[in-house]
Amino acid sequence: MNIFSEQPAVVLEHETALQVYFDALLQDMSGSIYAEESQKSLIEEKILEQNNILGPVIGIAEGSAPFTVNERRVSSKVPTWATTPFQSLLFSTYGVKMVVPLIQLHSIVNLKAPIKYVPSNSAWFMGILPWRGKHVKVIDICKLMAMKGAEFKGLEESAHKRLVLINDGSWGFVCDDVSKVFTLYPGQIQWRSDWTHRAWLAGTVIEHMCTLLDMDEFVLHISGISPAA
Amino acid sequence: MKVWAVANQKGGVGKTTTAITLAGLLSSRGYNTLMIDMDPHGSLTSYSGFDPDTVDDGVYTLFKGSNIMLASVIKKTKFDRLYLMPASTALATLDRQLGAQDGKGLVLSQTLQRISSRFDYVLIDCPPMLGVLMVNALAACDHLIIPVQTEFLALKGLERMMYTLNMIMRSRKIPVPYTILPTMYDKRTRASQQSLRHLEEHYAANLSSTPIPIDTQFREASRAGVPLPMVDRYARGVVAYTTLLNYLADFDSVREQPFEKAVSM
Ligand SMILES: Nc1ncnc2c1ncn2[C@@H]1O[C@H](COP(=O)(O)OP(=O)(O)O)[C@@H](O)[C@H]1O
Ligand SMILES: [Mg+2]
Repeated sequence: MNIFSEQPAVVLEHETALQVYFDALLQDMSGSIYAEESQKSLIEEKILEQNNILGPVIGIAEGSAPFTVNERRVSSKVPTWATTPFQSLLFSTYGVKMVVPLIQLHSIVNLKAPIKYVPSNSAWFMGILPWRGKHVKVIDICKLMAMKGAEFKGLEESAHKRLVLINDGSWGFVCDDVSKVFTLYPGQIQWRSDWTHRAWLAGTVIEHMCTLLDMDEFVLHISGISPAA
Repeated sequence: MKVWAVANQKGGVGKTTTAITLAGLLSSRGYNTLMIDMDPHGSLTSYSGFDPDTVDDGVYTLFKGSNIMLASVIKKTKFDRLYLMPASTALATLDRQLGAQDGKGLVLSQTLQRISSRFDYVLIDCPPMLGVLMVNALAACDHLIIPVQTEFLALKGLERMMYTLNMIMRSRKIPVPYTILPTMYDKRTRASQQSLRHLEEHYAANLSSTPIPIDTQFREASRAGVPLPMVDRYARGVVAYTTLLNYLADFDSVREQPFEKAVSM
């Protein structure tokens, strides 16, 4: 854990300060909590792999060929990735259930290290998390959705356990937990009719009564309005 | 592969001169030698004919990411078997950017593990300040050379360096053997004599037997961009560094004939 990431209340004794600094820099990552995390996310990847669904996830992470605006949707309603049955991840944030297509995810990380607070005007931009050499920009989806109207009450009460990385891993959103990976059929989704406004809210999964998110649109949206972008 | 780092928190004590002279001697003895410039000032880089303000890839690249093309990070110098991983001015921003991020002190040693079959010797020139670059060098080396100018102010610098070294060794867990090297020794001055005596009294176990004498040719060689051994094999200063090299090589018991290795990059 990076103890320097938070403002220390007191200045440490000279020698202690140096020792803590050196200990952190020389920490063998193979035995650290980060390694544990990567171990866990590796295990998660393994499980996904067994279900034969890792391919697309890796594919996105490595190649990350962004769709052009025209390619993103086959009709005015349905994104290209949803024209055939697709694997998706059910997760919850502040107790609210949501679904994302696996193909748009990078990895899932246990949130043990503190997120570094970065001053910004946006309540939904939580800060930066150093992860495997990257600086992941961390988003609170619920707060982003609640920007207009107070759809989500009592947002402060929740404890975020996981970070879901999207895109090339430079963005991530917090969630309470991820619950399952399952196959969604295009017919199970009620697509939103208005694509001009918050297009990343793709539709509703009727069976689970929860929102389906489109991360391609989401990244376009937050890159446009994020203070860190 | 043997990794030697040259460090002292004081500037102008002969770190860069020591690194390039030893590297010049080693490469002319037939060893594939890599010099690594960890000092944002980039003296070793300029010395070797590269510009730290414009150089593309180098030490900085190692800290940027995992997908590193070693062939672009390591430059060939004008001299056979002598290579350089250059410093760029941007290195000065690393401490600000990285802070005390976990594990970032091991970036260099991880890189060196990847190229351990390509080089016989690695010489690391350290910056004069404590920070992530110095920690990387001290974590990566198997032997540390601490040049100390034989004058009184420099001795204070040595105490500071020893203190830092002890602290780092506690975190590193495997201690590093070190050699204190008196430099710019002028036997005619009292300051030189007295500080050498001080070193003998306090650091006898780790003191190099021959001090490096003042030799104005070092500055000339540096201006010409050539390691002094390549100009004058028998210059006073070079002879002294040869003695040091034999001592260090003996220490590491690798004095035997070099085996030719093709470095293809
Ligand atoms: N033995 C020596 N005799 C004379 N001049 C020297 C000697 N060693 C180094 N110098 C000169 O002293 C200056 C500082 O040396 P340098 O190696 O750059 O020190 P550092 O890297 O510790 O800052 C340089 O101009 C160098 O040429
Ligand atoms: Mg120098």
